[in-house]
Amino acid sequence: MTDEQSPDLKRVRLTGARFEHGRLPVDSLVELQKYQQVVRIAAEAEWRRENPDQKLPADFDQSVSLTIQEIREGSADVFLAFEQHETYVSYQVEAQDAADSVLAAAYRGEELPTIPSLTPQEDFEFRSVLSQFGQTLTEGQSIQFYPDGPDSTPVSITVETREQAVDRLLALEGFLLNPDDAPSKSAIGKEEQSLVGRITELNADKLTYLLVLSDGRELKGFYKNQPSLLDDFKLVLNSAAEGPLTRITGDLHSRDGQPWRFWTTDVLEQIQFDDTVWGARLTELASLTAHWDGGESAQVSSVALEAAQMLLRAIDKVGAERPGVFPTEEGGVLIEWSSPAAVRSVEVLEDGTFETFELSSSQISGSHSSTSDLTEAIAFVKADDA
Amino acid sequence: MPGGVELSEGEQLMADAAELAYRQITPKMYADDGRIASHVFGPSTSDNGKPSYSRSSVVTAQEARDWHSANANTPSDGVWAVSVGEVIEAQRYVIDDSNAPLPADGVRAPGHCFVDFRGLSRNQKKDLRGKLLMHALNRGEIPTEGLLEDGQLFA
Repeated sequence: MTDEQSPDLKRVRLTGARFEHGRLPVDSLVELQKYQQVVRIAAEAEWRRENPDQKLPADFDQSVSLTIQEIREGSADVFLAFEQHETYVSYQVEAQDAADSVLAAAYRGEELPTIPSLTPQEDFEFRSVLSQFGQTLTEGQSIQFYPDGPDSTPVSITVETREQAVDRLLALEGFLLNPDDAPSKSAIGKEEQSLVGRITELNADKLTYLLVLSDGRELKGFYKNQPSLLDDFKLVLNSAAEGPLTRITGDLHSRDGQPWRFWTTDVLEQIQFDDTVWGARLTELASLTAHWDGGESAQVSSVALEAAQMLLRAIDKVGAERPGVFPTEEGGVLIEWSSPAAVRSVEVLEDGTFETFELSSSQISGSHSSTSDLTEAIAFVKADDA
Repeated sequence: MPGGVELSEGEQLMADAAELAYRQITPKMYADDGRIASHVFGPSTSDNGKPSYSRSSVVTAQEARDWHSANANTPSDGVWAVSVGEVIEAQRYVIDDSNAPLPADGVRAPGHCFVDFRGLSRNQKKDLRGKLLMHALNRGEIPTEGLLEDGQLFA
């Protein structure tokens, strides 16, 4: 297998005499049905979470349907694909990832990942159905399941490996959680927000991408709401170390207070700061998420960052003393010189307006002015240097 | 700058001009390569014009930092201070609210007090923050240490 196979195909290889020469006994189809069923449980839960109080669309289940693309000889080497229904593809993709990750963890002896979209009842059903996967196997037979693509390392499902995996999937403590401790819908936040990082993976079929933040965290994003962003994504796609900084704005889901995924993507902006101390600091500011102060602070706006960069270039040019560069709660940038004798600052507001301020230790009230003209702000900076 | 005093239940003016009010550097983005922002000393959206400080007559700077790091949303990156007299000189005042009623699930730092920014205009807030920053810089950072990480034996 299979350089020519799409990584989006799900590969399930059945081994044993019963499956030789590519035979797929009818009673083995139930295994594939179980896989489809578990993906549907997760997809439906995701849809209900996104659309509370609405009835599941009649065509939803149809969109989360497996088809057999190909069966190869040797053993029953089955390549499956989901129907690609553009409206629901993100639910199917997320649900399949959830099913694959839990199944792989159960058979690898790893801690089972939490699927935050599932209520405790849905989680029980999800794991119960998953635990039935492989139930038609007998001695000497196996299902090789490829969780991370057709060429990935498979997990081996046999009569023997199933025993421990089922124990993990149906661990008693998992179902005796205090309802307050169980995964709940309230643990998931949803907010229109921006994050800055680098785009390292792109899947044009599933309309997804991977965003790597400056601290190494990875987030999946969907751009199904704006397929036309594909060309923009291609321009910024690169490895985490080399790609350009990119600001993504969209419907950000968080889990336990941490960014988790972009469910929709509205804007993609490439960010470029100078290769200077200022540039590094502005990158730091650009990477802040909302609530960076633990309170109600806004993200630093692109307008403020751009205006601050222009001002800092001017400061560099006149050789002025290095100021402190800070984010402000409103989403602006504060550029400030301070000493026990005086404070001078230019505060770049979130809309790009410059507020200048100076105060000496002998004064009670300082001098204040406001302008949208960069040259006036630069003149203020130069005045101190004169 | 308006000088009217507004005291609520359980609040009292601090009168000892020499007493220090400790302020935590938080969030750490308010520090940049050894420089601290004037915004450190002012209010945020969530404190209703009453930025939190700690009384030096009740807690040490280290105790104040430890309590903050253990209980607040973001840990403290250091402690600076202004005196009550310096705040009064800037035509404002410091209020001890340690006996003010708390909501059922509320907690308050030992020796809690605040510099009163209530009712000030945007420019007046800048003036006051600037004055407090200059006094704090003149005094220098109050020596403290951060909380030890899990498994860390020494600071």
